[in-house]
Amino acid sequence: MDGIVGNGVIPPFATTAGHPPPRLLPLIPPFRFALVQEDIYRGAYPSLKNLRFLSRLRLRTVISLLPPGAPPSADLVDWCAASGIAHVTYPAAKYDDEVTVSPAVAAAVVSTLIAPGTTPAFLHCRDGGHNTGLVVACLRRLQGWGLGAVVEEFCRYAKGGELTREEGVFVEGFRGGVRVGTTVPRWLANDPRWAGATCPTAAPGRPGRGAPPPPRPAWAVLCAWAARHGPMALRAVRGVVD
Amino acid sequence: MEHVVVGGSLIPPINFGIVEENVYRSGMPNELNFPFIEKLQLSTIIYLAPEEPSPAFLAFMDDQSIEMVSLGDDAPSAPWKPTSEDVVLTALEVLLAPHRAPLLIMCNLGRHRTGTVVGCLRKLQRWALTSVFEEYRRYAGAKVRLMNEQFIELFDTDLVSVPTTAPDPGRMWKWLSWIRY
Repeated sequence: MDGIVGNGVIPPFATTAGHPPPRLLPLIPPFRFALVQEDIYRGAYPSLKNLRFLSRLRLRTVISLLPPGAPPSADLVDWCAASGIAHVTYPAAKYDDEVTVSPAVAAAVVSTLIAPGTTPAFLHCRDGGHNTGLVVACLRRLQGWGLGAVVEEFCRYAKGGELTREEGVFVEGFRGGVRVGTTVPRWLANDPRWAGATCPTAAPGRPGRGAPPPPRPAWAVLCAWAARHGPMALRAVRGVVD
Repeated sequence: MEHVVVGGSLIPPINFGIVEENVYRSGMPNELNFPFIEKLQLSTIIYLAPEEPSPAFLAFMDDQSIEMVSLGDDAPSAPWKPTSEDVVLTALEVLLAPHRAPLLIMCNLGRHRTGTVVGCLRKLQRWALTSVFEEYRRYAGAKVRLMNEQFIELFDTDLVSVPTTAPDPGRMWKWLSWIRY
């Protein structure tokens, strides 16, 4: 807690000879950032200033829900590529008082989220509200949450704190088609619907995990990426590896 | 195998949320919520409400061998009075102790006291203030108390004693490590 960057591991561009090391920079999560479950995160469209925060999640996958025909931002694509993160895009119309996610897309995203090898994953749309919220609502239904609780959570992230009538019908009428494999996350384990499924690191009684994975991405790769993208990018990656 | 989603019966308590891995937040649960809470396999509940928990809830905690850390009784709630610094510091100390996880932070509605403690935790994690307040407001809804936001803003994270021993690497390495440098 001494306010020094990174355990003395100070990237060369962060210091100037003769000056004290800089104060720790704040971490800037994307808007409406939250944990959905262990290793599943949600939020709004990540911008450059969020990448330093997101790097610390050691993501394996970024799932973007974007209007058809709108490519993801170059920053996001480049950063995912440089960090070794798989970037998956699904179509979801711009929010406009209508249901923007089709049941097939929602089922596909939920299936991806619970598949082994996807997590840690970050799920986002443009504002982190309605589209992401609908997918999370479907995930909660799969988890067996009661409808009231699903709606309460949805409204916490939605514009105006409300669920439209159509969205309510969508969530209540969602009947799945979700693929559940033979390996499920710990928080889906012990469900009679997929009784034979195992979960990777479940310890009896209390949850646990294996040793932390080695830090990714390589510092050098990120620095090289940042160097090509100017000062904002440098600020964005500074402190990633500390 | 494809699965059809049918009506669910698991009911999380009001304002339930996941703060970090193995750290949850909520308002006061009732009997309907017990099956849901059971699945979290809690070790500890940080209880910030001023009232005694209901006998049913006490029995439930006893049954699940959940240890309750009660911090609410010495902090009378009033709109002009934020949660006291002592309470927040103690709550964070409990929260950061590796052997306490999985744990649940709760107060009456899961808005103000819980929100203040989580806000101070976020500050300790070096989150930008916009993000901290956004999360606080998400749970406080229309009842946002500026007093609590001010408390979070002025909270001095240097007062928190972060454990010096390495936390259980299997549990909390990911987000606790952000605090430590």
